Amino acid sequence: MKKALSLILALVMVLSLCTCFASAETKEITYVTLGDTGMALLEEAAAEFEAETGVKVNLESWSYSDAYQKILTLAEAGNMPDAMYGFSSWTEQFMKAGWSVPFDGLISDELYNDFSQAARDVCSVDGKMWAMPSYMSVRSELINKASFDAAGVEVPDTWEGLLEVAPKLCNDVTPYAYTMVAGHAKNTIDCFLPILWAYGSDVLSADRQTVAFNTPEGVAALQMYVDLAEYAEPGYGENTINETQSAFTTQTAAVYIHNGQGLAALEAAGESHEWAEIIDPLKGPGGEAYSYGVMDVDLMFATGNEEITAKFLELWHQAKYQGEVIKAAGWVPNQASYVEAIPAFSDPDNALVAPFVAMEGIAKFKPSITCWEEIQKIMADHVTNAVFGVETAEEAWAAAETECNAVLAAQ
Amino acid sequence: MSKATKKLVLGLVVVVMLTLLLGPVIAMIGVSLKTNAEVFSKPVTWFPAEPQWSNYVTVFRKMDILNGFKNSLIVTGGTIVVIMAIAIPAAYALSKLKFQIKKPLYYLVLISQMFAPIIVVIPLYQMVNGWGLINTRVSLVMMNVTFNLAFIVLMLKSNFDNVPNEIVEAATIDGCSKFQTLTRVITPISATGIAVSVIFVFTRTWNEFLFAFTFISSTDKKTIIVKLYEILKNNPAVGIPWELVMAGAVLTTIPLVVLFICIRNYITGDATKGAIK
Amino acid sequence: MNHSLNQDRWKDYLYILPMILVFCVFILYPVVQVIYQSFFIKSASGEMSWAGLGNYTKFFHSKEAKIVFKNTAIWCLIGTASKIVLGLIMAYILNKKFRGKKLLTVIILIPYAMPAAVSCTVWRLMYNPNFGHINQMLLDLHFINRAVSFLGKPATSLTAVMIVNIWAVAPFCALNILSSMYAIPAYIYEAAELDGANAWQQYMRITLPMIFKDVRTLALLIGIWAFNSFDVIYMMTTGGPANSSAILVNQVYSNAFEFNNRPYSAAISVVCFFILMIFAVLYVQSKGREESYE
Repeated sequence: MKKALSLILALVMVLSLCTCFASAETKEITYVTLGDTGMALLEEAAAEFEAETGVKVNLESWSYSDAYQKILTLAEAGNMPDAMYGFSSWTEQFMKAGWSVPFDGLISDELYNDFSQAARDVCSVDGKMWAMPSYMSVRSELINKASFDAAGVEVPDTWEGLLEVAPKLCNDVTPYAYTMVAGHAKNTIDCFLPILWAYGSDVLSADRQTVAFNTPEGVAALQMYVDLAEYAEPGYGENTINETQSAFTTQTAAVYIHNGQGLAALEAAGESHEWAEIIDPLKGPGGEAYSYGVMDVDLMFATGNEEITAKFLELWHQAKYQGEVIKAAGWVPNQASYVEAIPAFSDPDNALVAPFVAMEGIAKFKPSITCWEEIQKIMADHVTNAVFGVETAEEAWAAAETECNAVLAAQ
Repeated sequence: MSKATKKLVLGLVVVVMLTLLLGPVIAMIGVSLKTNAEVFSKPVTWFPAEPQWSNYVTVFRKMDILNGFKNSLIVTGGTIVVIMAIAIPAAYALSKLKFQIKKPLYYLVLISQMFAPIIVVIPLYQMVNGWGLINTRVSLVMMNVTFNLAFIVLMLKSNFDNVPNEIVEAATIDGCSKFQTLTRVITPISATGIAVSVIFVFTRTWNEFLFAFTFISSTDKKTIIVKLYEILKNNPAVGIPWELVMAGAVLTTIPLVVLFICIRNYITGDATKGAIK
Repeated sequence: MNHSLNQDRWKDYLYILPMILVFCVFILYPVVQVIYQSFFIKSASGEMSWAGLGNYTKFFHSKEAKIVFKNTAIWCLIGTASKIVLGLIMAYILNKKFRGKKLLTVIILIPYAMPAAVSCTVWRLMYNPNFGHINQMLLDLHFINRAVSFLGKPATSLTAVMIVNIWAVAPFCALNILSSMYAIPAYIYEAAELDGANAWQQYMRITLPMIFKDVRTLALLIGIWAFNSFDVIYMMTTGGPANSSAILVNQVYSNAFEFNNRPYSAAISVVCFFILMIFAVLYVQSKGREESYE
């Protein structure tokens, strides 16, 4: 035992010494991506960039759910990567904290003009572009047609209509009518906001100093969410958006809100998604309806490497690299050149992309404010409480309003 | 109660105990051998129709598990070396040397065992970052050393306490310095105890999550535990590949179970007495 | 001889110096730092300003404090009690002679040897409402007629996580209690046997009183571990839904890393210190008494 142990010890020591001090000094930049979608193409782009400029690009991959807290920790410590994949809702906070840098003047006019006006607007604060649009995740309802056929009901176009047919959608094809999130803060809000908007309510008031959801419409929207839970796949308290996607693709639930990536994945796995259909956003009582827009962006940090990093991002934002990733994942591009180079994006028969492209015009975004994470958590906790019957919808929104306004006032 | 019923009751209790203890282990192994479709099909079964050993191959190829193992080994090995270099002399001093602040020091060690890393993680992060050591395996070694040190010192102290004082005195008379007494007399006699504490450090470092999760951001430096956690959290296209996650879980657990079985007789014996009781 | 010893005395401190250094740099200094930080508040632009006890009053008046204190108490007290009771039962069985005992001792080790990340992953799968084993079993036995998300319901989430923690730690308690039981001299039982005491009487009158002190120290130690066990809850539920399974240390983490409010998180840390100090005093006393018996 002694001999073996000392042998192991010696081995491990040598190993650790080798790897700890083996890194040599060369010019390097670091780019962080989320999840592992597109990693292979990123590696190709990095290789091309190194061959051209001699600058090595370190690629890191973080998980979506931990990304925000990770970047906060690193940024607080002044230890950011040079650039990272993120969301437009972070833009204002990172700008105010002095962490990120604007892209103006660092990227070519050609690329700047390639972005759609809408995308540039979402990424701009005070006339400067603080984030580079990557793609838009436009979300709407996806339905399992087979389940509707089995239930013998028409596809509804309002939330109330969906609730009405929900009992029948719990059938042999899909055991549950709906799948949603009521627990995980960010994803709860992702699933709930389209309903809130359809009912004619919103998160913030026009002056952005107070919240605006505690109205009869807002309460009705929350009540709709609570009622839907009755027929929802029961994991909503522990689910993230991943699990709802999985509940839909495994035909456990008949309806869910997301983009095309679940179907794209089925296609990539060689499985049929004939039974699935993307429908227009469901309407509220007043006939309003919005698709849910999430702008995924690339952010650049004040590390002193901005110029070279911007060059890498410019290389990455090409049809042959990022465009292919967007195509494979079932997302909606923001760059005219992607649509030109890749026919799938403009093909009206492309069931995965075309419906979402059509919905871009009615897309609504989460507010980009500094204390968004706190507001989101307060709202999500009260939505969760309401869904689980801890509070009524009225109580939940009244309490959430007080708490959120206190947070906003403290800013 | 007759003897027969007693035996029956005892037998029943043992069976219930076994099921509860082993249920999750069996579920883990069962799922690790299923196909992805089987995992999601109903009704849920404990065992696959046909074991898919290829899952274990896939997990190696797809999830970069080897790299995780390597990082865990580096951190664990570094921790063991450093912690032993600090703990053996300290335990020796607490056990065999006479000096004034011995009692308060003993209490200090006892108490420092209670501070959860989570409570001080922020200042530690800032400090380590200030030294430019964030996102290095060295930082993980430092943290693991810190938060296992008290436990190991107590464990070693009670081991050294078992070495009779007469032997130490005899060594002194033979002309051994205190340091020589430690290296030539105490350490060899307590070899088993030291080996057991090495294994304790190994498992605790191997399992460490908080620092490995917050201090490391580079994919190629993540430990196996964080890798496993992230497979679950990452955005897999069609549901979580549970069968692969479980195969990874089995592989992560095997080294620990083997080590623990090796030292099963020592876990509750004298070797750990000082630290646990 | 004495003379040379005295000269050497300062050298003795070299043996403990590295350890003291580690404690001062990596525990004492951060602790002081945390206490200091807890008296500030941070503005949106990142500037710190003196807040006195502001963070503390904010925490004690907050809604989550109530839930979290209650959860911490349940988690530590009921959790520890269950672990000890199950440990006592398992140790009682393992102390008997029967075939397969050696194997059982090895099996008992497996839950304890499993990394927390692994056991949490496995249990999350088992609890899953759609393809988890537990729901399937309960449905088959007709205990429930619709799948339940144990981790996802505020009413059950804490209990569900606690069961996992008990499952992992109770075997460790059993082995410790068993070794205390082995230490009881056989002649005491022999004497009791002569007096006509049956097995149950022997257990109640001899075994339990003899192992009481060890069990008390053990209970304190695993109580402290439970108080500090952030990772199990984080990996299973991240404290949710709606804080229903969060304990104090989870709030430290979420306020520091999710909401980026370091001073507020520091204040919660300090609250944790105070509670830990109570544990610490009890533990040191318990150890101290035991020491004097030896």
